Amino acid sequence: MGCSLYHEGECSKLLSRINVVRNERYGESFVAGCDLCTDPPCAAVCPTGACALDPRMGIAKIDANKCIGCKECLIHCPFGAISIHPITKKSFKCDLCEGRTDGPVCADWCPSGAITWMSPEIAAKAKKRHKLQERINAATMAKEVS
Amino acid sequence: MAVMTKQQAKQFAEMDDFFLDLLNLLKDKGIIDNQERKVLLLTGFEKLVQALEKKKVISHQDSKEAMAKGFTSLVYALAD
Amino acid sequence: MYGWAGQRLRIDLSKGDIIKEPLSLEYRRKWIGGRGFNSDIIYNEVSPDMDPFDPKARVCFGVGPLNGTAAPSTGRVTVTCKSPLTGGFGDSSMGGHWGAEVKYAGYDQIIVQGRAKKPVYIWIDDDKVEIRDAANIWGKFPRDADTMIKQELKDEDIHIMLIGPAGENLVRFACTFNDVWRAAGRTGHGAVIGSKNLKGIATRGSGSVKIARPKEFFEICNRLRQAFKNDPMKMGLYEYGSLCLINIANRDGWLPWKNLQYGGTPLANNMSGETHAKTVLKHREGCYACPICCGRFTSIKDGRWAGEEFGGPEYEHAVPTGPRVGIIEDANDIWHNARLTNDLGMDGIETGGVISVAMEWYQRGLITAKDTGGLELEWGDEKVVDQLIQDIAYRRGFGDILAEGGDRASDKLGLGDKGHYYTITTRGMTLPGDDPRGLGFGYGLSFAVGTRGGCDHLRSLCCLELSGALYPGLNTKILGDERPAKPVTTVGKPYMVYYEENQKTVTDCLNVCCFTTHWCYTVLTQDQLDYFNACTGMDMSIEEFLEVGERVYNLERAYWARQMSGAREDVVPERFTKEPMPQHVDYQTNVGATLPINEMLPKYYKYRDYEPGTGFPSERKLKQLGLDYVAEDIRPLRKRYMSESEQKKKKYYY
Repeated sequence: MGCSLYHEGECSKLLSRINVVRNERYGESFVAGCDLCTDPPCAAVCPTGACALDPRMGIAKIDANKCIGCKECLIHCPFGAISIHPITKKSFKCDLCEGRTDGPVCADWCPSGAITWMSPEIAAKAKKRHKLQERINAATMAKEVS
Repeated sequence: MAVMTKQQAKQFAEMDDFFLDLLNLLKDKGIIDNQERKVLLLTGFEKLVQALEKKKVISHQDSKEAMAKGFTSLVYALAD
Repeated sequence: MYGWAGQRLRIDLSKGDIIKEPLSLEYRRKWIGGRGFNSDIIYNEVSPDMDPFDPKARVCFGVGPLNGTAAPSTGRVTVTCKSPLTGGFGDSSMGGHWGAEVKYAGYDQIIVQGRAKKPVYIWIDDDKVEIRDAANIWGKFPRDADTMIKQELKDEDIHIMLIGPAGENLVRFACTFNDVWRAAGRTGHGAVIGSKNLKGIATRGSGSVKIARPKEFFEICNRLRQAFKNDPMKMGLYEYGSLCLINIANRDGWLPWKNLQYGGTPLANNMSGETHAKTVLKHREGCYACPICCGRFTSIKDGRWAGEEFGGPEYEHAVPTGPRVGIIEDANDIWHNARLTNDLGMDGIETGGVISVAMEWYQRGLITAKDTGGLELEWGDEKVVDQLIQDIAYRRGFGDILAEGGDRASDKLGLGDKGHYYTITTRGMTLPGDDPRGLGFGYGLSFAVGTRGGCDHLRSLCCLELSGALYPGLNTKILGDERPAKPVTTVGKPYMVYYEENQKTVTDCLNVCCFTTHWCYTVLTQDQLDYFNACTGMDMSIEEFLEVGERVYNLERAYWARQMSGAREDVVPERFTKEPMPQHVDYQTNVGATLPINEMLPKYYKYRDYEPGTGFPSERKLKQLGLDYVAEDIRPLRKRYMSESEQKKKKYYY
């Protein structure tokens, strides 16, 4: 609802560009959001050019004026990041909050760090470090237990 | 503006729970009316201090000290 | 319409009627929502002499204007009814995401009345509402019923409120859940729902909450969420859940051990949040729009309960079927017991409470194995606790007696006043896992006067004395004095409890999580007012806002007055006034403490403007709050309460 509030001025799951799907029984959840593909399939399949990569922002964006609601982008996105607007019935997706100074609202507000936003190069480095840290933590815990 | 004597201030300072008694005293002295008493009872110490400063019963300096040190500072600021 | 949906849904299960009632601006301004809406309905529509299980009785689910919005923690639901446990006013609150879904579906409140002829569940799909057959889910644990309903309705994204077998079997402290594991635990509304042959309410909401001043609202929400990133209490809650309190409770002597005979145990760390995080924590969980995420998901990896998983536990959930019954050596036993009460749909606090009461009766020779069907109620015996939890849920053997709650069980067993001494209840509901001789005298006062059956930390949640030390200057800002931040003192506590009760009540009317504004003090009253006004477009002043809290609180107090419950019943269990806290560890801070309740009560009555003799709200106060009709209701009862015959009655429940 932070996303929908920022973009649409009202709070709604269906107006959000980012979605969380949950399985409450098993305590599992998954964030379906735009993965900032360098070669976005959503743009590749768009028949009108409504969905196109914005090279400055590094994300595919949808121009609602050009969108005809064919839903090809939704079908081809591997991450479930595209939704149909409940009122306009056109596709809509994340736009990184159009360069908001503090970054996208979802990442800014996420309390657990499940959603983060950073350049792909920094993200890749952080991932490698994270894996190393996991090993260090496991070794430390094993030492404590023994 | 003096609302109580130093002796009364000392008694307040020794109280375990002073807020209601202080509001009642301020009402008896005509500093606040019934409606204001009701509002301040609900909204707490900071609002009381702000109200007293606005009414020029205490100075801005007294107000700052009251917020830093609490009601003992306030009651002595209200004493003659 | 901004904030609110503007209507409530009333479902009559006897007639099959589904009615949508608009909520006027005046009504919304007077009660705001959530607990406010619910308390108003219960006061007006469930008379003092009505049996809580009567088909005419209501159970209400209230949400507020902020539910489903970007304000911090807006997923909560308040559930209210006449409590089958206490016989008086009862409500409870649950987190999760169902509250937001009800709002998105277009309702500010759901009222259920009547009784279906056979088990049913309600399906709310935006404006379409159906009553559907629940034969194949009746008897199921909430987690199974949740899966089955989602399969039947072919939608994994819906949210469902459910009861468990305990509610179906009318256990007097049965509870409800939403999203499988998020519980509204206390006062037994699960049994009221079960008495209506209702298994649950499934909901899909595709609407939105319109915001009056979206830019301003966004800025306020953003400011608060940034502030939460550095909130000291939030960090503890996120890392370790409410179990972060275990070691603190043990040190300060408020962790119940053996039915509160002691305030802790040397082995408390076995179940601390830190230990939980290292051993069995599978995920941290958050309710809707929550920046704190104190929720846990537990997965037991070894021992006899290996493989069990469940959402939770909270401190209050784990302690009663843990240290309160003398179990601490193997924490997996505690997690298992919490899982069991969840699956069976019972209040963990009352379940562990009543078992620990029975254990103390047994310890002191008031009952023997003859009374318990052969069970030897030794402290710390997990086999016995595991069996009793199930026997209570299915009302088998001795469990059938305990399913009535401690005070009724005491009477059924003919134990007299001596039995009642050990039930650790006020107005029929047992204490949560917080001994006021250590947690704080403010809490102790709150337990005596709380309007949902006393012994209740959540009426005031006066964390100005619990987490006050983490927020230097906060006690001075609100109360004018930093000394009340110390738990074991009477200084400033009457005003603290008065203020926090009003503030907590209006928080419950907004239906946002009180952890944002008690415990964590990042959101203060002015912040709540700001986001409320920006969301709804109202122009409430801070005094009008807090007065809503005072109004609802007094209405609930008057509900008890109608049941002849007042000053004489504003007591705490005698253990706290008569028994100095014994020592359990050498670093304990409250050895020798008792609760000086009588030093605080008279001043508190003055703050509340309660009549000194009856403890009823004064006529003056009720009229000031716009509750003239309530003043009329209780006017003739004042004399009756003070009559000799009434004074002679000892009321443990109603």
